[in-house]
Amino acid sequence: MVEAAPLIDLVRRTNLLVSLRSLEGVDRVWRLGADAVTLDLREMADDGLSQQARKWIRISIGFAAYGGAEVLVGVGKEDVDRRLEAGVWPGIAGVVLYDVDSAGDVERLLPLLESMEAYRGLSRGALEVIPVLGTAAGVWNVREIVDSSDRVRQTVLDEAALCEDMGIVPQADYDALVYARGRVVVEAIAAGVQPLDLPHPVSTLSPTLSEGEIREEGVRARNLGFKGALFPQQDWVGPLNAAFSPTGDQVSYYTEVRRVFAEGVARGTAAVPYQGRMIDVPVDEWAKDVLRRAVSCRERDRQKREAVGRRT
Amino acid sequence: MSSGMVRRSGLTMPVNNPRFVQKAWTRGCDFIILDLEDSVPPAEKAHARTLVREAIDMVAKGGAEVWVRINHHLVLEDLEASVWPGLKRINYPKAETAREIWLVDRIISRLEKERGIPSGHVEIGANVETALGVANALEIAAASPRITDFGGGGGYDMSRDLGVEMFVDFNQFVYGSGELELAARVAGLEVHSTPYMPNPSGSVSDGDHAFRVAEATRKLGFRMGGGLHPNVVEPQNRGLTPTAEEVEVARRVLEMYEKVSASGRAWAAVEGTVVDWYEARRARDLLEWAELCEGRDREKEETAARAMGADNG
Repeated sequence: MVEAAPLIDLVRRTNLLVSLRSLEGVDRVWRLGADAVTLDLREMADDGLSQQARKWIRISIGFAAYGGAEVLVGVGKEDVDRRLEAGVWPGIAGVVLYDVDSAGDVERLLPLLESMEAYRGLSRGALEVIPVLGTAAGVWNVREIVDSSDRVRQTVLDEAALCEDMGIVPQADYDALVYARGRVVVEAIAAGVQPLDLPHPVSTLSPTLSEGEIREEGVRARNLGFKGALFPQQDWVGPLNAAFSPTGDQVSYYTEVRRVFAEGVARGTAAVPYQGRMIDVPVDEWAKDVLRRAVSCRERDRQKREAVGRRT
Repeated sequence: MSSGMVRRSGLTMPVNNPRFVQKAWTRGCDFIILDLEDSVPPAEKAHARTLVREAIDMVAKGGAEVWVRINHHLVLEDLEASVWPGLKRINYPKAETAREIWLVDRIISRLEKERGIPSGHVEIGANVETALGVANALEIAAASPRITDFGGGGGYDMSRDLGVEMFVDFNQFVYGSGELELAARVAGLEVHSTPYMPNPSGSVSDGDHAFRVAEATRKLGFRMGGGLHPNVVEPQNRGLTPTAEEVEVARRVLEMYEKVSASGRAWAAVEGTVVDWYEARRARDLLEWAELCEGRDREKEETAARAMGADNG
């Protein structure tokens, strides 16, 4: 089995959803710097699963990976075996599974993934599953869904689909999904799974946002517990990579927190006042997490830069 | 609704800091938490345990209840050092399962028996500080009769577990707090909770902020406070105690309701106020709480006066 990295080191801040319907959708994504690219197979018609289309998918996988992104495929529950058969090739890191209502939806996928791994020469356990929760049932059953397989390391809350499922007409000034969002964050993190989302109104109303605004929304998502997002807007990649990474100011602040705390411990106290706040063990632990995450993000960015450098 | 306990203000302090411990009884707290956990460095924990028994008597001199916060992973050693006469509660941090609470309960039961403490006297405060704890909220809340109140769902440990910054301009803990409140009600426990009020500076010594939070907490029907700095004790006591004006209004509402009831009506508008059973019940609750607060303040004053007399004598 493939050994998974600790979740704190899983840097998949941006997962860019790309349609395979045109060359334009695919051939520039590798330059954008996304941590992951998901090739959306849901909309491919039957002829899209032909031999020629399979060849096109394999080419797209190569394109998408040029910039160092992980490449996944997106499928719905319908016709999943044919779509995986067409879309899973060496170079694929996992499957984004839409419309997940229960653990059974994930469990039904598992034998197919095992077969595909064996059939296509992938390591056993290499393919992750990222369940997308876009129904009330999916949110209600989030615990059993995220616990359904070790292959699940991230899960996505699809707020637009959830609104549709629940008959909610999103309004800019009212957030109808506080409970659902909190439930997904808490249950996912309790199970050691990263939750992904861009909360209302970004996800529900798709407003036009400046780079600064989308970055602010990403920071808000991060401070709600989300670790990244799955989205189709290509110009959001840069700001969201930044939003889901510790800032330079945070690195400086928490480096100082660690120094001040260590001095306190040397004096025999683990409760150290600093800039009006109280620094104790959990603050120091959080500082360690932030600094470790900053290193992981920097490393991921370096890998992508090098990959791009090899192509240009 | 009320448990009869008055716990408006509390200070948490490292038990190995003699300066904090010696002054604690003069602060006017309803309860004091002697900390063995996050404010005590690992290398100091063994020594800190040896200080707890004496510190319990020391900090109780002002009439405060004495609680001890133990370490999640050092339960047996910490309980052995902490469960002595004079202790009212053990705070068990990062509670995640009912099984953990059951174990803490069993050890406390043995120590109560061995040390002449009435059976069941020591409460357990189950501090939920992780996502897993929230996910298991109801089983934790219902795990022991020693748990009398339940709530929270925020704080540094929770923010770390969720991977979020602690001080932001919105409530990142709203789901967890809500789950814990519901679990508390379902388990028949008193709820402790505070409304979200932004504190971007993260100051732990801002008395004005502490008062605003305490006052809003009381108006929402919650009654418990607590903090890290002496500056917040008096504002919490004040903010969580009904004002003289509110007491007067409540008395008038009850008088009016008695007249309305005597006339055979369910409700009436009196002096611009609707008076019905609901308003009457709220007025009774407020008067009962005001009386409890008054009694608690008197008790603390008398205890502190005796301690000062003994010190001077």
